[in-house]
Parts: sequence; C-alpha cells; structure tokens
Amino acid sequence: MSLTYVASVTPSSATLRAGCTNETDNQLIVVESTTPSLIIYNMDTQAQVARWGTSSAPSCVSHVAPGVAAIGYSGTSVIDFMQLSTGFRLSAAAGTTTSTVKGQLMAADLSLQLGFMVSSTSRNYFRFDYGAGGVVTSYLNRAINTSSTANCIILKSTGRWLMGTTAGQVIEINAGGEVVDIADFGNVPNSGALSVSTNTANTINYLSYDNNLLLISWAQGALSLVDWSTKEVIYTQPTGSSTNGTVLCAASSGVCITSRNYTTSTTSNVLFETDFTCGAPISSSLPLFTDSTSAILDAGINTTTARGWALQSTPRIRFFDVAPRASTTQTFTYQVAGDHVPFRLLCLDRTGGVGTATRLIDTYAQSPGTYRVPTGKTLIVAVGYGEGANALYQGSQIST
Amino acid sequence: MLSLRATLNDGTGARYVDAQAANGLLYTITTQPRFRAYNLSTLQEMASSTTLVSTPSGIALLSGGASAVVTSSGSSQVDLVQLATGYRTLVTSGANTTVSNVISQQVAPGLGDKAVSTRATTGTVQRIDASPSVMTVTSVTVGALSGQTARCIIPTGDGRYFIGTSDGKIHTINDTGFTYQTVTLPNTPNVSAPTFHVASLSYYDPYILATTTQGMAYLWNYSSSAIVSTQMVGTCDSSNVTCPLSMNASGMAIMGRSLAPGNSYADIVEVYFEKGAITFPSTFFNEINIAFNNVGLDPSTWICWEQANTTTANYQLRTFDITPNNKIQVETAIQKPQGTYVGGDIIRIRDDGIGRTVVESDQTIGASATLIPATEGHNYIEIAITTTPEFDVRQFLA
Repeated sequence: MSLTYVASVTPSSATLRAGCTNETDNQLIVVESTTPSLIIYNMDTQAQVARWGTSSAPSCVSHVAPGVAAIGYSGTSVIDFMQLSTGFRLSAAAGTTTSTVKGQLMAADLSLQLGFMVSSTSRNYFRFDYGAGGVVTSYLNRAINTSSTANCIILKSTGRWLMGTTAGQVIEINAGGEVVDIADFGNVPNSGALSVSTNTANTINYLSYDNNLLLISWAQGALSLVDWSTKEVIYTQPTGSSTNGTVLCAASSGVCITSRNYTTSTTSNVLFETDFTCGAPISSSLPLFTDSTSAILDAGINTTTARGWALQSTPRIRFFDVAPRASTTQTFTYQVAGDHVPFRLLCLDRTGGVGTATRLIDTYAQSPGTYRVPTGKTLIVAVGYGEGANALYQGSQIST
Repeated sequence: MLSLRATLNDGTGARYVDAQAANGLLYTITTQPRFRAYNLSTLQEMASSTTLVSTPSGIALLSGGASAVVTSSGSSQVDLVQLATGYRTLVTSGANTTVSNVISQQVAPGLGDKAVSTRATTGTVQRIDASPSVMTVTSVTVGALSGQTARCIIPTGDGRYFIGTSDGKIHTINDTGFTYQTVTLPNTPNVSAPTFHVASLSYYDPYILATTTQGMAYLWNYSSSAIVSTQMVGTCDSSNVTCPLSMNASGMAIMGRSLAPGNSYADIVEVYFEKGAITFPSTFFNEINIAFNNVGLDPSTWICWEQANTTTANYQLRTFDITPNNKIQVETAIQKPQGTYVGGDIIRIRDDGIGRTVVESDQTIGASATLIPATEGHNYIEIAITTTPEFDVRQFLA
C-alpha cells in the first residue's frame, strides 16, 4: 500500500493555516492568513472553485453544515459561519484559538450541524451550533489539567468528540460539551526513561480514531496507539518529527495520513498512509516524497472518494489517492460468569491457509469490543482473560 | 527486554568511535585516538594502545582472532592492532580515508584476515589484507558504485559484503569489486525523487534490514529482491547518522533511534525481523536526546551497547542486557480426547507484550508430540486447530 500522487497546487498570495474536507461536494476548504481568505478547491480537478475574504486572519475551518463552513481565529474573538457558495458570513462572538499553525483546532458533526473549537485559554473550548442559528458557547472544563489547554479535537462518532491537551490528556465529550470519558497519557512518550526531570510538557498535537483504536501524535515526535476502550497504550514509536510533530487526519477505512517533517534543511518532507487498525500495531506505507522542506501543517481524506490532501506552508497543497480498504467491523467478546470483562485480543489473518498467519489486531480490549477487520478474509482469533498461568484463552475462526 | 548495565567513559574526554565485541571483550577506538579493550561484563580496561591513527573511523576484528584493523576518515592510513596488547603497526601505502567517523560500519571483516572498508573516493572500496604477516591495503573499483560512495559495509559471513551507498542502493560484492546483486531502496511515490544514503545495515538470511538518511527502515528479502516491510524510525542525516544497526543474532538486532532536536529522549530498540516484518519487542529510553553513532550486540553474552556522538561522560557508551534470542525446540502436541494424539495445525505466536506479538510459526503437525522452534526466554501464545475445526490455546515460556 502507498499513496498515489495526483497533483500539487500553489495558492497565490497565501499563508496556509488549515483545511477541511467537504465530502458531499468533494471539495477541499482551506483558510489562509495573508489575504486573509477561505479558498475552495475541487478535489477531482484541483481547480480553485472560489475564494472568499474572512473577517481577519483565520486559524481553522470546519465543514459544519451543507454548504457552510465554520471559521475560527487566533486574533479575533469570533467564529464565522460562511456560506461556501456566496462567501456570506454570519459572525458569533466566541474566543480565540491558538496562534500555532496546525490542523485539528476545530471539528464539526455535519449531521448535527455543530462542532467544537479548542481555545487559547487554559481549560477552555467553544461549542458552535449552526443548526441552532449560529450559537457559540464557551466551556471552562476543570477536567483539563491546570494551566493546560485543549490542543486538538476530532469527531469520534456522531455526537462525540475527542480532544487532546497540552498535558497529555485525551477527553471525550458529547454534543453538549460534557465530558463522557477521559484518560491521562501524560508520560507516555517518555515512559521508561531513566529520568523524566528534563522532559518537556507532553503535548498532544493530533489524533485519529477508528473503532476503539486511537492514534496519538505527540509534540515530542512520537506516535502512540491506544485502545480507547481500556486506555491501554499498545505501542509508541518515534517519528523523528520536529515542527508540529506528525500530522494526523481523521481515519478513512482504518487508515490515516501521517506526515514527517525533517529537521535537516535539505530533506523534503514526506507523507505516509498509516494503518493503525488492521496493521497491528502501526503499519506505514512507503513514503510519498514531496519536493519541499516546508512544514506539513494539515491533512485529510475524503472518505467517500479516497482522495487525500495535505498542506505545506510553502504554500503547497498536495493531492493524492489513498488505497481504499475493503473492511467491515467485528465485535469480540469475553465474559466471566456472564459479565463482560477486559480481555486480550489477538486476531490473525490466515486466509492463505497453513503457514500464512499474520497479525492484524493485538490489543487489550473491553468486552464487547468492536474493531475494524478486512473483508474476504479467514481470521483466527484468540481471546484471553487473566495473566500467566491463570490466563484463560479461547480460540475461534471467522470469515469476513 | 533491554536493561541498563553500565555507563562507560574513557576519562580523557574522548568520544568512542566504534566498538566490536568478541571473547567477552569489547574492543573500542576513540577520538583520543586510542584502541581500548574492556571486559564486556565488568567494563574493566584490559588493554590499550599508546596511540592510533588520527581520526579513527572503524574497527574490524580479523578472522584470526588476534588482531584488528582500524581505519581512519582523516588520514590515509590503516592500523593493525594486536588485541591482547594494543600494539599497533600501520600501513599508508595504498590506503585512503573512509567516508566518515560518525557513521558506523565503516569497515567489515571478511575471511582469512581480510577486511573491506568504505573509501572516500567515489566508485571504490578499500581491501585490507593482513594475511599472513604483512598488511596490504588496496583500492578496489566497484563498477556498480560508479559516481557514488559506500556509506556502510557489513559482512555476509561467506566472504562477501553488503555495502550501502550514497544513492540509496545496497550491493552485494566480493573483495575484488565484483557485484553479485543490487537492490535500490524505493524513492517512489514522489513529487520529486529524493536522493538518500543508506545509513546502516543488518543481515539475517534472507533478510537485510537497512536504515536510510530519510530516517526509514526497509527490510529487503535478499532471495526475492522484494522490500517486505517498512517502518519510520529515528531522525537521520547524511553526516551525523542517528539510526545505526547492530549485527543480527537469530533475526534480531539493536537499533539506535534519535529524535529531532528539542525532543526529550533517544531510545535504542530491539528489532526483530526474522519472520519478514520489522517489529520492536523492547525499547530502552535514554533520559536525553542524543545522536548515536554506533550500536552493537554480542550474541555470546547477550550484552549490547550504544555509543553516543558526544564526549559527555554520562552518555558516551552504555551497555545493556538483552533477553537472549537463542533458538530452542519446544515440544507441542494435540490430544483429543486427552491422551489421544491427533493431527492438526499449530500457530505459535511470540508474545513480548501487547502490540509486540509476532507469528513465529504456523504449521501442520501429525498425531504425535512434535518439536517446533521457539526463542528461549520469551513468552508464547500457541493456538492448536484440529480439522473440525476446534481450537485450544495455551501460553508457555520457552
């Protein structure tokens, strides 16, 4: 598997800040701060569809409703709702988001026509509700560690979002902005270090989620894979990135785009297609080598067309295709005396018969646990409860 | 598992450039410049030279077991050092500098007290022949290396060598420059094709693990000439390599992974690639982010080491214990009902922890107790499948 390069586009007079996908119309929406403006591209032809001025230099954008994008700012305390066909803006008083140039500062649920934006103020985030007429609500959430801020947000599922913080927390919130789940992974990228005294704050920059598996990109230059049902950290690997760490995007059929920003001025940055659901624990494709050393800021995939995009600060917009996965979901269970319990889940692909078994999933799951699996495969599954000599394992075979 | 044993510094403020282990000893060269031999377990110094070629770049232990050759990246000279005493002789005739003294694997031992090193002149490597008593150094032209330099070199064990090049290729050569096979590490897909160096190599038949200055690790199947596994690893560049590899031991090696400046740690990892996939069974995190210029592994003691590209005393050279990777035979059988042997399939999964499992074997056995290879000291999950199919799962420690 690897990304298939399609084309690059260079916006005129632009400093790219962030982007989002309008899946319905197969459009890429980006915001830039030089003019400042919102630019729409056709993802098939890469042609510019429209360019509309924004109220000030925008920081983030999200497709919140059919034909409407929400725009957030780091220097102006408003959230704009922009009609994509006309550029008409409806402004609502809000607060500011971080001035750091990065993606995942806001995320919306198209079906509910509302979303959230992370704030530059500690413990704070904003809910913007286009469906209710453009209402913005500010939340001060004391579940977020003192003096730390929400730093990224993604849509997990309908009505649920995941936020990563500058203190290594991941917080799940519902459409009302209430915390429904939380975990602290603050020391993960340094776990096992001889000393943690010299470590800097453990900031989460990007997230990607698919069926209980959560991929975390750390500012320290590492990726961690977590089973969100049990909060088990399955795996951590360095990525060696510098500026903004490794960019992630929302998953499409269990894969996401990851980036790598090199530290040397002569090495062009690269993009990967990363499978973190059926490629246990993390499987990255051959890199797509760009021709630019400028930082990769944001990335995304149209899950319908499998066309992907990435923004480089040069400015360049890269378009490429992701190999779609033929996949489905499978629920695994383990019960003790009728009660669902956390369990070890090992899932192997043995479609080719004897001698071909390879690992697909290896995690510590909460029963019942639903995970993505490839279709058309013969899977061997081992589920276990307990440790060591007391562990109780069961085996099975399923066809997908 | 990797666990820290000790930290070594030579007390002079010099940096360790390269090290090789044999006979329970660690043979090092330093920027002082000196040759120093240490007891690998205790790190007691056992021998040293009074001097050494300036800017030493690599050390190769010759097959005779009594001596080593030391190359230089700053002086056209090769030293021959007696391991027991540190006594050295030198040759300048025919000698040239190697490409670097911060990149590992600058010189590789061959058969019959021979060695081959990188050479700063493009299109060539350097053959060093210390047999029987007079050392000679010769430039060897490698046609496949035209216009490029070898960046790293390791032995195949049968008198041939793998060289990683400045244009992202791996050649299999002999010490006359004959090229048996070439693989080009992929630079596609791309917007613009990059040029990168091969940074370090580790070989376990039929796989060659290669890291590059793009910070990538590729696993090449030598038999099929296919790249079978890819991983992003640490940060690398062409002058200060920070993802070196050790020699392999039964399909595992040590890799150093540094991160970007400003990050808080650099780790060394156990890399397991025996079964054609790159996995990392265990990791040791250093407390600072340092650049590694060499890592090593001694399969006789299962002690490994990291060498940092620094003269700071606490981080110069660290030794570690690692879980042995010895292959043993572990019996298995399927009984149904208990006491009655039946045939079926056995899937044996090495279990180094959640996210670190690997399928080591998947085979059919007959209606009897059967020996299947496993790795000593590692945990396993074994799935037995009868023809029905029915399943049974057990755990064991090999």
